[in-house]
Amino acid sequence: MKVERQEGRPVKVAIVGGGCASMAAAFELTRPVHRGRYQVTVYQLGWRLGGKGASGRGPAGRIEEHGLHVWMGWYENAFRLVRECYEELGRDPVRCPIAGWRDAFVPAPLVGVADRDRGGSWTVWEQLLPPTEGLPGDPLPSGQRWTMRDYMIRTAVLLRSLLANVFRADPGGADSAATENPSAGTGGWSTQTVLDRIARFLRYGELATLTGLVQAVTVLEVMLGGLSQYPQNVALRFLDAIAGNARALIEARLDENPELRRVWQVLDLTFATLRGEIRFGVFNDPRGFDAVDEYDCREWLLLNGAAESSVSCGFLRALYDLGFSYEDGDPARPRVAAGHALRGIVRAFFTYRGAFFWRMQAGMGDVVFAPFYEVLKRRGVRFEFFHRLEHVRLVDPGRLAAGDAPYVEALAFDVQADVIGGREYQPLVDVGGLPCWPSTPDYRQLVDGVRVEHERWEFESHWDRRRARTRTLRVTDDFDVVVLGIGIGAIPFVAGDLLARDPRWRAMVDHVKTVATQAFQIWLACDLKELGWMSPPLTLAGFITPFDTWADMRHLLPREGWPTPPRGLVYFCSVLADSAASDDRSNGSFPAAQREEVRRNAIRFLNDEIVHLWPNAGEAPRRFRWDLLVDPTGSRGEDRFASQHWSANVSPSDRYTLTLPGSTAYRISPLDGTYDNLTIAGDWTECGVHAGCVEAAVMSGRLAAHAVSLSPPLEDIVGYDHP
Amino acid sequence: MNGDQRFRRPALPRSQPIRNWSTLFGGPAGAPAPPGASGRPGDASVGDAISRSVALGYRVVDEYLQQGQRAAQRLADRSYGPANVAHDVQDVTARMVRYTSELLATWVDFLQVSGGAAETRSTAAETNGAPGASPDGAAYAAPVGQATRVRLEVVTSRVVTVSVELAPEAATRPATAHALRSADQDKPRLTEVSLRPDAGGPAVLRVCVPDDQPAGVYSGLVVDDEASRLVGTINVRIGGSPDDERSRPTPP
Repeated sequence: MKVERQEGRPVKVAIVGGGCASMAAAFELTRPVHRGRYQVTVYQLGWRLGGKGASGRGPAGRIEEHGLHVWMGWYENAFRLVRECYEELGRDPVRCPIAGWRDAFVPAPLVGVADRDRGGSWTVWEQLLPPTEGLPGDPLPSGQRWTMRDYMIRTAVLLRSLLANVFRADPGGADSAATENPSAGTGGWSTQTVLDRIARFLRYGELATLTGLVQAVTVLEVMLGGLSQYPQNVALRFLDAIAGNARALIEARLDENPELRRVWQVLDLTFATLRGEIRFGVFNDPRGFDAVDEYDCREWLLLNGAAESSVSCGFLRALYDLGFSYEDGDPARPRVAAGHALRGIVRAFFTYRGAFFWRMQAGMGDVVFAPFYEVLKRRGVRFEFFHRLEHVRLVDPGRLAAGDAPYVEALAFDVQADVIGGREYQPLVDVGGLPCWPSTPDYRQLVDGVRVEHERWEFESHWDRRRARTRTLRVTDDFDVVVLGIGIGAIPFVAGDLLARDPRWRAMVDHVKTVATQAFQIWLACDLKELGWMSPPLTLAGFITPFDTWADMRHLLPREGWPTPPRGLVYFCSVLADSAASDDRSNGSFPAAQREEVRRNAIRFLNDEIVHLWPNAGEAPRRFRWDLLVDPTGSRGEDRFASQHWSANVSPSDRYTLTLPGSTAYRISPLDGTYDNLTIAGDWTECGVHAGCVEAAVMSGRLAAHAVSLSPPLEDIVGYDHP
Repeated sequence: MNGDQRFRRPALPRSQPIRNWSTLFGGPAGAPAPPGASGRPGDASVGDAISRSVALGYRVVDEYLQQGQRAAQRLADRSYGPANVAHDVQDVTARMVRYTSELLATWVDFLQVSGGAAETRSTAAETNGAPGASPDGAAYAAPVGQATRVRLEVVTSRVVTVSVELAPEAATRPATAHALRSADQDKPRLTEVSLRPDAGGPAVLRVCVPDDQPAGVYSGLVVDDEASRLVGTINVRIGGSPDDERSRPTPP
């Protein structure tokens, strides 16, 4: 292939979509190192950036999100770019309450999992995950790489630590020798010594005590570090022996000490994971964890000996809940690719820096997208709001010269609204000194703004196709290269040429599926302690449908603009069951019907279920205390819910990307070179991490930038080269 | 529209992540170095491994010296009885075991790194015909230490990087190298791959890359013929076609 362009002319890059992936691509392509070589324009539906991470300010400056967003401590690429963005932004801390990235993100080390005990009552398992060295986005140590060998050793260390916890929780169950330094008990570390030690454990029944188990796992640790030296069947047999004895020892104690049950479930899952990694050869498979992506995670764990009760435990349900891993939004169909899940777990637990979770100190739009917008504007990026992509037109194959690759010839948009006087739309508002996105457009800037507002145009709705005019961008005249950064759910509606001509694209949209989500937020007149919830703020998953995940977000209240601040703020979210009616784009009432369903779900949930966690929130059986909601309109009963915020994220681009078993092989990489002037960006691409999350989106955006400019180097995209 | 003015994306060195742990430690060969980096991608890791080995070595020596000094001190003040001896021996043994294990792990890492670097050098030299390649286009590589020396024969006109990880027995026992496949199922497999023992020398790994083989990373397994056990992995990274390589743009 050749790079052919007029010397001296900048390369015009059209980025379609304004989510994390698109912002990352724009940020990379406009770095000073490029010296203005790439002239970037972002085309965005409606009035705000953010995609699935968009947020807005509503009444009283309150924050209104699409859903619940928490950043994780392993989001190295996302944090790196955000930190660079804030540094370049150079906000004045006296004038702006969120001036630096440490103002924007605060460690949240507490995680919670809801689970039912044997009596059927809901209990919450809280876990404080300790801080680790460094901060996400810090430069990594020279030569830092993650390997299966390291992960397997760390998994064994986790096993040893869990067994030691069992000993601490049940000291009567083990002999005093358990306090020995386990590493001292393993003697030398040669192959023969390890094998001798294994034989001793098996021959003399030393595994029959907790002490023996702890020491045996230490031997296993050594073995996993040099797995290729040992026949696989030896490793498996030894692991099975340890697991079998641990099961016998601990299960006998579960009735005496119910707290052990959770530890045992995690232990059982850890044993199954190690067993599977050895049995399936994951530790040296060139595909890394992808090697087991054909399996559902639960199915794979069961195949590798996990107990049914363990794969149904709260910890694993939380894994599915946090990833919305329910096909078609059906809670009865939990499905997630095993390799992807394992990669996510090891990255989350073994590579987080600073804190396991990081909480944003305002809306995601305010904390992430407003700073990116401001920095990119300074760098000369143009933002064309109210541009809805309708068609990506490929060149007619008959016009291609021999050997030429196909390319995008035109991009057809509906312009939803024009700005008065042809000026550039100014999208941000000031809330307490912080630049924020509003929840509705500023109609005063729009031609026919009064009419558009009166007629309630839904600029972000897939089903509202009203427009002011059309606009077609043509290759070379208007753009040189396209970064397609919309959600995969929207691809079938705008990329008909690609789907018609390219079987890989058809396979991708067939297999990489998405799911609708639902969310609501309530502002409370009392704090959660008064309702009987005594824990500090945390994010909790594994709870009951239809809202299995929730978070105490009271820390955001000072960032809102209430005359009299509420005392509590809680977010809830989960999947939303798919409806066949969503396929009919002419069905303009569909989004409203879905919103109504979410409203009913939320009211039913508050009436029936929340009392399990907040015992003082009910005024009678199956009746929520609606007076707890802050409602400036003064409504009564459950009508007060109308003053809260809820959303049905059903538009194709708003749908969450799933990682179903067998789907990851169908993803296309931003680095794919099939089309001369097209690359893609989004968490749905083959970006190294097959997760629907900020980090995957940012990695994908950086890869898209690399595809256009050969920068950043692939080695600089943290975690791209990873098992 | 004049088609010649149209922008074409640059040719990329690869389009997939490297997930094979055995190639990870030294960093992917052939990929562009990050700004400010010098030498081969694996240099930093080699340096790290050496530094850690040296540091650990010093700790072991320090431990001996300090124990010796303490023992001498105790003997001098006549407080060093049998109980102290037993305690110290146990203590030192525990620490020595710990340090030895760390040293072994570091040494294994070092071998992997240095092996990977050697393999990259020899393969690149061979495929580019640079000084150092033997006249018949073959080169020696020692991917994981001397026990697994292997002679590489790569038949190709393309820019190719070969990574090999073999268990020691793979060089001496009958083993089969399976066809190499790409994660992209549409790409044809690399079928002309063989591994044969060579009396009096290292085993010979032969890889033929057709001119029309699509660029990408191809991976495959080496299986012990008798025990049906996995004894190694082979990764071949193929750059663009010869024409593409000549016109590859300079990174900005």
